[in-house]
Amino acid sequence: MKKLFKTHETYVALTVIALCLVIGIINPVFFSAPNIVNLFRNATVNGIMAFALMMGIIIGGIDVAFPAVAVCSMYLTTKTLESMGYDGPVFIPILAAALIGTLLGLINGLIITKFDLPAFIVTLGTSSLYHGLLVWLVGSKPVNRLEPPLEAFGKMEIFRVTNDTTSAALPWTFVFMVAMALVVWFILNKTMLGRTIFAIGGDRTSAERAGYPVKRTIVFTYTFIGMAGGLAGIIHAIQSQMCIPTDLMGCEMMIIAAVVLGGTTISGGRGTVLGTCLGLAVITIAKNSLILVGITATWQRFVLGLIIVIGTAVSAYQALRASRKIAPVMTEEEEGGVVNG
Amino acid sequence: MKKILAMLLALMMVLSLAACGAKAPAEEPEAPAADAPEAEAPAEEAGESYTIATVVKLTGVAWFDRMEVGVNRFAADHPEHDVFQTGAATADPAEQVRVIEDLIAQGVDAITVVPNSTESLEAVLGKAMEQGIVVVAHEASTIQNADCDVEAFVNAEYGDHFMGKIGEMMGGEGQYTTFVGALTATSHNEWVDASVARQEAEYPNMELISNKNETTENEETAYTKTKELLTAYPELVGFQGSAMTDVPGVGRAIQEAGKQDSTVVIGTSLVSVAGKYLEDGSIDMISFWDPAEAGYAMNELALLLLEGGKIEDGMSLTAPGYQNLKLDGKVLYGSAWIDVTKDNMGDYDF
Repeated sequence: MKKLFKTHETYVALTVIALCLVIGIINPVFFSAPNIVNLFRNATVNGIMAFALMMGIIIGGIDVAFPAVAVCSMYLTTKTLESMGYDGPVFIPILAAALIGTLLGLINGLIITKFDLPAFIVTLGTSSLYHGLLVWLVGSKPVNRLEPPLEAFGKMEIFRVTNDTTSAALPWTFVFMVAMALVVWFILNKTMLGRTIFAIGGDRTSAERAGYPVKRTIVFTYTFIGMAGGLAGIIHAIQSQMCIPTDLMGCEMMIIAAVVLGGTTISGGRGTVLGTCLGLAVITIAKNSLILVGITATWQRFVLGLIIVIGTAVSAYQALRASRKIAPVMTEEEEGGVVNG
Repeated sequence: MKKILAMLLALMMVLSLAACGAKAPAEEPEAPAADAPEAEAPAEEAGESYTIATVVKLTGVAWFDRMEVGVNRFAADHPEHDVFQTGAATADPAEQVRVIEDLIAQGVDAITVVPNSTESLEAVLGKAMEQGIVVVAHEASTIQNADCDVEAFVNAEYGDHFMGKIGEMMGGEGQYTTFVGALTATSHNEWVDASVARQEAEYPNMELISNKNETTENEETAYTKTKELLTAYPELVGFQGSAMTDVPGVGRAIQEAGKQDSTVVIGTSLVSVAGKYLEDGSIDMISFWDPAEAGYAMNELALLLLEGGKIEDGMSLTAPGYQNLKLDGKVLYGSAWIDVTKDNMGDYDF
């Protein structure tokens, strides 16, 4: 029990519960089955990106190029399908988008490791490079109607819940988020690769001296984030039933917020899939419940920001207290983490 | 070594950005540039043939591709003049300044322009006017350095028109909500404010809830907000969209909920974007102004001014929707919105 209250996840979970209670008391409709199903659906695209990005943050880096990677993948894929009038199985375009993402992520990883440059600057650069190239070479005309296989897949439901006023369905695209969470959990907890990622994030020099394949692991991590970006992009297009090449651009901040809220330290070395799930829950609930609570449009951004700051502060403060008790030497570093978060 | 590489990377970023903007306009004006001297020589002799360039915000997007249709139609209707459309490949004001400077250097007779940012074009347009070039603007009612500006409609009248339809279709009863692309988008806010004002005056039994939901011009956001609104307000009937992607997002949520017949969804969009939801009544009506007619009207005005004509209140052009124009300062307002329902959506292929 005592141990439970020491983990970061507990405090994020308490934040989620508090948030749900406050919203539910103001408007009980929040707890209705269709609303909850909608929340899960709305978390899908962000979730795919958040779980992968978490690995990048644990390793002590950051990636801000994944929205651009997502846009490139979804737009190139849907545009190609449109021009060829594609009518084959749906997994081929999804695979193609993931491959495009993998390639772009690999480029990020190679630039970062080959030249030993800060990941933030590199991905900031490639983000505008990828998106710029896309708009220059392919244009920006939206794909308004997806090809039938994608359109049909977007409308496939795992199940549907109905009450007397409304109904909501969980689409099959949701499975991709669950799969991504499981894959990331497996890599981080059950493989040597995962141990290497934590080791690099904890102390890169020590990891190098201990003989971990540092550069290779970093390249893998950014490639994986690219793959997840590509997947998230095509899932976004499938869910919205159209593809606009400016969508998703600028979503990186919310995703980083979700990961950091979930207890992943921005300086690396620590993070869990469960924590990111909870961080994602805070962001998704906050973004999709402000109308329910009756907050006017002009105040919504402010309240969303407030929830993120409070959510991060609650868990970060706890981490700070814990570290003061255990190891006073660590305090400074932890404080740095709080400010960044 | 590391520093050099960092600099190289930074350079690469800058170049990539520059390259994005540079290619298309460099290609496009080539043809007119070659033609210009030939076209101008007879102009001085006969005094009749003019070169009119239309500069759009950016090329390669649906909206301005459509505008080019109108510009090309004007060119076909006036074969004695050299009429063409150009623009940068990105919506970057600096690129647009460069395109206009190129046109001034080429010695065009008139420039019609849809500015990315009105303020940042004032200097270069002032330079154009000093050299005797006629300048006609569109979507730039605050512009100083232009002979005139032509707008498709008065924003307030457009919003008022929306509420006329929504109020009528809702029978003056029930809850309705509004969407804007951004809380800072002037035109969207003017449309919604005018619409709400008319509702308050004319349909007192209608109730506005959750005014100006912000969609960040994102279809998915419009969709998730609509789902949330339907959850929070099960009685909600009316939806007014502003950004092109608002009503498609609303329509998708309505379609999924099977509420096509019990809701009224009206807003600005294009048939290519909203068509699939107009078909089954998920969206009831969309309105827009045809960029082709705006392009045609700008060129008509430019030619009129080149031929020594004057702009005046109540004047009419031949482009549909630009008759009996209202003059305010140097801004001419038309009433050029087009209403599209599933019955006439086949007439528009953009």
